[in-house]
Amino acid sequence: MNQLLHLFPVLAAGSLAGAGLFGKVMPQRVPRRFFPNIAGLAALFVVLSVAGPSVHSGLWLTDGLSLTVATTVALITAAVLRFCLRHLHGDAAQTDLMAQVSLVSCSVLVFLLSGHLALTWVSWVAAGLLVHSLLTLDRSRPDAVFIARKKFLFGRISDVLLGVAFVLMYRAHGSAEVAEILATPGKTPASAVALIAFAAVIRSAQAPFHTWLPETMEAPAPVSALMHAGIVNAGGFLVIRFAPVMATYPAALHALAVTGGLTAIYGAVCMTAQPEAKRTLAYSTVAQMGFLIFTCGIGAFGAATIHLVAHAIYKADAFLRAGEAGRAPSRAAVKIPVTRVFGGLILAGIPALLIVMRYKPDSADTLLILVSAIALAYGAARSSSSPDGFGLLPGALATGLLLTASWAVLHGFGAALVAKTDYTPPPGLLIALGGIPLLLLTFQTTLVGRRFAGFKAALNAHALHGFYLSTVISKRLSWLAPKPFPKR
Amino acid sequence: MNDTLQTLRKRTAPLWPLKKFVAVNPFTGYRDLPFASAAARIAATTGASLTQPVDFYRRAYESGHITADDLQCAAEDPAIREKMVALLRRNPRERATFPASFAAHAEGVALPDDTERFVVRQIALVCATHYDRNQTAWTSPWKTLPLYAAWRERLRHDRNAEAFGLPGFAKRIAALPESPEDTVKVGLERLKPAALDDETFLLREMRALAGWSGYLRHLEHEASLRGEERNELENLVAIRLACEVALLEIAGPATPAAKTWFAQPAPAAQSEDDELLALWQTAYEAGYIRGLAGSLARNKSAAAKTGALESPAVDAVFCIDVRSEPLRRHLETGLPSTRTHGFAGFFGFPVAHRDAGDADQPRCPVLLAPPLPAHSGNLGRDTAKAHGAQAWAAFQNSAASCFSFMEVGGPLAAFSLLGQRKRPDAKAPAPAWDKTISLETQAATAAGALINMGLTGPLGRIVLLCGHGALSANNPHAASLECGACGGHAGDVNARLAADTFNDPEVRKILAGRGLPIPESTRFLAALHITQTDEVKLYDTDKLPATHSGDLATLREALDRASARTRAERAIRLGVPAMDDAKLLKRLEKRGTDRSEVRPEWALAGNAALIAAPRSRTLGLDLAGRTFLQDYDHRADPDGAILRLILSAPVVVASWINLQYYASTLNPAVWGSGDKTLHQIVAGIGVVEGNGGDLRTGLPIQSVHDGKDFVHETRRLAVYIEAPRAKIDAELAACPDPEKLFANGWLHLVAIESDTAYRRLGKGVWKPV
Repeated sequence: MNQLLHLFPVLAAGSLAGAGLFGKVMPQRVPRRFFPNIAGLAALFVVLSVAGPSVHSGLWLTDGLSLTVATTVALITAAVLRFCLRHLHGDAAQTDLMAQVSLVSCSVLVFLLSGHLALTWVSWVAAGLLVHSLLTLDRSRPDAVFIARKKFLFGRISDVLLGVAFVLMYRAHGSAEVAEILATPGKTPASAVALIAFAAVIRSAQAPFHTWLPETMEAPAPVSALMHAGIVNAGGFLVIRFAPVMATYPAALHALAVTGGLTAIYGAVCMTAQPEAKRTLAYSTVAQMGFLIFTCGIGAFGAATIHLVAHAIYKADAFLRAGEAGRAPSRAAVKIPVTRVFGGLILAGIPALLIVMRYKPDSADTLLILVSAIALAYGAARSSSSPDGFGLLPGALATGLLLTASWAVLHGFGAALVAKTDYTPPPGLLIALGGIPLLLLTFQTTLVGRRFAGFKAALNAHALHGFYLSTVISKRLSWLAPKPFPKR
Repeated sequence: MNDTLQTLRKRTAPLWPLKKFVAVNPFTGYRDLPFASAAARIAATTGASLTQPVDFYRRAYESGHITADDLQCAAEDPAIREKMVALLRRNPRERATFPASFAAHAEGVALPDDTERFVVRQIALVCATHYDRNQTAWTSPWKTLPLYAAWRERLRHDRNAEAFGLPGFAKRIAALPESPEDTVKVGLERLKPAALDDETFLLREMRALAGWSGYLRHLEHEASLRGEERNELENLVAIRLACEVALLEIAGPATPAAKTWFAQPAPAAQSEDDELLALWQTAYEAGYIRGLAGSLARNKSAAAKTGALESPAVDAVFCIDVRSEPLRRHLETGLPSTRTHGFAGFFGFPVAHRDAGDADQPRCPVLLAPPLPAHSGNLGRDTAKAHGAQAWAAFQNSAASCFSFMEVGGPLAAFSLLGQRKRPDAKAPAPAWDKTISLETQAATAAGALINMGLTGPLGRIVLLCGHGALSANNPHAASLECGACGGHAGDVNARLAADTFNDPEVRKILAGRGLPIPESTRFLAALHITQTDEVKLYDTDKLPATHSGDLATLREALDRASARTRAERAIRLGVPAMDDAKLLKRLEKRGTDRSEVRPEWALAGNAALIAAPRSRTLGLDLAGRTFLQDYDHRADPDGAILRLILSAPVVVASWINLQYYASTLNPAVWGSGDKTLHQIVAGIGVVEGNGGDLRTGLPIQSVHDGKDFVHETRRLAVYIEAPRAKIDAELAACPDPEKLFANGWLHLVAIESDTAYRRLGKGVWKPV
């Protein structure tokens, strides 16, 4: 019986691999309904793995962290594949695409559930390669091919970095089992930690490695949903998985915090300037990935896990309903008086401070509550600033409720998922933690109005083009473009 | 130069924003030209053909789809017919290709690869930020300036072109004149190859920006309905030409690329092949035209049997939309005491409607400015709800709070992600007239509506006003499935307002005073035909007096039966397997609320004819949901006023719909909006395909193609009018616009006079079919 329990991770990945290969080899013979059903089955197998031991035969590591994320990814895959049924109906490439999605998802599941360095690396590489062929299914669109090749180049660099890191780790520990490595994190060489951090930065689309992300809209919405919910966050997961190891070399985490923090600000500013629905979502992903990596950098790994899962669900859904944007309520900025912002900050800050003082004020997780308070202060200030909007008081009341909810999620659940580390972020980073949303809040409240008009105008012009990072990098990599470029 | 801009303005087809997306004839600017000449002009400026390739006609001819009779219909002269057949053997002369712009001409040679696409995308982005309708959180700081000035201001900071590899781009733009007119003048002077005329040159340059040009034309059109003049298009022309001048300078005016650009040959003139292809297109259409003409002319016997209908129990008015025809047919069969009518689905009530979510809903044909304001719901309370939604959206999308939103709100998306359904809309509250609308205005509108709908004789105990609306989820082009006569909205608001007005005793008093008495026993009832499921929803039945409860029950039952039959018919076209009705209804409903569905219904695909005649002319005929049915009785129209109205409103609107389908089917890449699965909504206005570029116009490929084959055929609309030929000619003389459409071959015209059908070959020239 115990032997059978070991099989669940294998079944989860194997069912998706089987479906994918079957669809690739015999596209005519596979009923398309089969794909989402198999993905649902895979999700079930992942959940059932709970019953088994957390370390399986040296190959699998199924603890709370990997099971939570893997369940999310399997369910998102099922939703994505179900969406493909009608959305791509009549498309010649439909079965091929669904088979490919199954294979991508399979490699992501293996990556998440893997407990062995070799398996982790192979699945990391496989996911990257399979996504590449998913993005280039439609070769008639030159833009799609060019951008996929850009992504391919960055992806392979991260593969090499991670491969070297794992070899170094293996040589230091004498074992390739993740559980063993995590048990004695101190043995890991600093160079390996730095390489993992770098690989994660590239994979999770941190600026300036993000440029392919806003440009992969040449693929249908379900492909975007999968990429934004299952592929880009692999970098974040890698750091969370190796949290105890990462904590042995604080400089790497500091670097992550800085990169992530800057990417978060960059993504958020660019996002607000985009007039195109899916591109807005893509910059939002850049920002969220930045925040995820930042959260890892300050050692709040539990919060990062929650953020990763929540963002995956949210973004997959957002892509699958991107056609509704035209009917969404107006997003236009509202002029918000500064006094309102201060009012909101005070009202939202009081409950947050109470929570922070009651529980360990040194924990980054707890401090995140303060960040939420700032964000919610904006919500309260905004809703009270629009004509006929709510008053500040109901806004603050709602704020208090939302804060309590987020605190409960972070601490009731997030902290329990990840290994404890004794890393304490330097005060500078914790100040940055509050600084990021405060900066963005200032930016937003001054969007409307005449303050800093010249500066804002210039910033708007630059932000529309993502501060030209994409154009410059495309220029440098123009040799990757398929030739001759077909003319319209 | 101003004349050239005027011509460009005239040639550019407008594009409505998604919220009120209505069908547009992409060739509307060419209607003053005969079909074959327009084909030559369009080919010379877009490179695309207005007719199918020769292969298409060859296959149709060889398979017997086009018969010898059809050929004869197209060309009387046997010599021409011989030439037509000869064309099938020799392929037509290849059209000379030409570059779309200097950027396209010099890219990869004197300019970086892909410059044209880059420049078009930059211009499109500027338009998107400039005209944004509440989609972008951070609105452009230069929104208050005219477009051209805003672009120049933006370029003081924007360095994207330089980063792309166009050194000194912004500086060169800054050196150009400040006014758009002067810039256009400079552009024409410095860029136009000598062999091209101004018009051809500008049309070619602007072709790559047809989507945004169309939207700017729409803004100008909307302003003109309000009696204002607005010049938007010249700004865009100036931007395009300014970019081209800058690119010419960057490439160097003396390079070989520039020399070959200026040495371009003159555009190809109209050739005999254009004529022959146009004739083949007519031959392709002739079979259907003759077939339907025959059925209509022969349908006299059915018309004679309609004595019972002189005193119907129910009068039911439906929209002329092609989707109404099957439902009307089944309703009449199921409840023979019903008399159905066809009239544009706004029922003669042009309403400017607003509700909490949207203050700008002109619910009337787009050629009108709606004069009658109305609203629904308690605006105050709904606004608070809308503000709640806005606050939540701000929490979710704003730069400062989007991170914290994830932890709280992110997981909530799981319900929506796994469900993938649109929540059904809440029950729509009853609309009401704005306080400014006097009783007198209401009565005057009602009187006009009665006369135009032909409801002046004895009326049934219930008069059903049945608009139509669609059901679709996650669909940027949702409005294209709705009622065009209601400006891309569902017809419920107009139907309910009309029914309320007709039932108002005060209004009835005034109407009676004008010789339009409505019997005490007649009650008007509003309804909505859901075109996705063919269900008919009745409104405000609780307001019907108890005396009518029996009539209501009978009608309700008959409507349900008619719905079921129509549904079964429609399911075949949708490729849904046969099943019992309750299951089918569920299935179709699911289709309408499923976010992943790209083909919720076929909408107006297949449309082929408009018939303006009394219903007795078409009664009992199965017209397969392909015809617009407009009620018209020429005996009740002695001065021809109603015929003129029909010619200039429903006929024009139907031709717009028909030619939109024609164009989107003929060449989806040029006149369609591309692949729905790659659309992203831009600026709350339109869609781009993939990574962006110009706005796409026309219909998505999924609206005309089922994955294997086109479901629409490229067929110009045939208009059948039951009236004396002389009368039609006389009224057409008074309506220059529809006359152009007919005389130039954008539509076919068939008259039905004393049970014989005549096809119109030219002004006053008719030939029995």
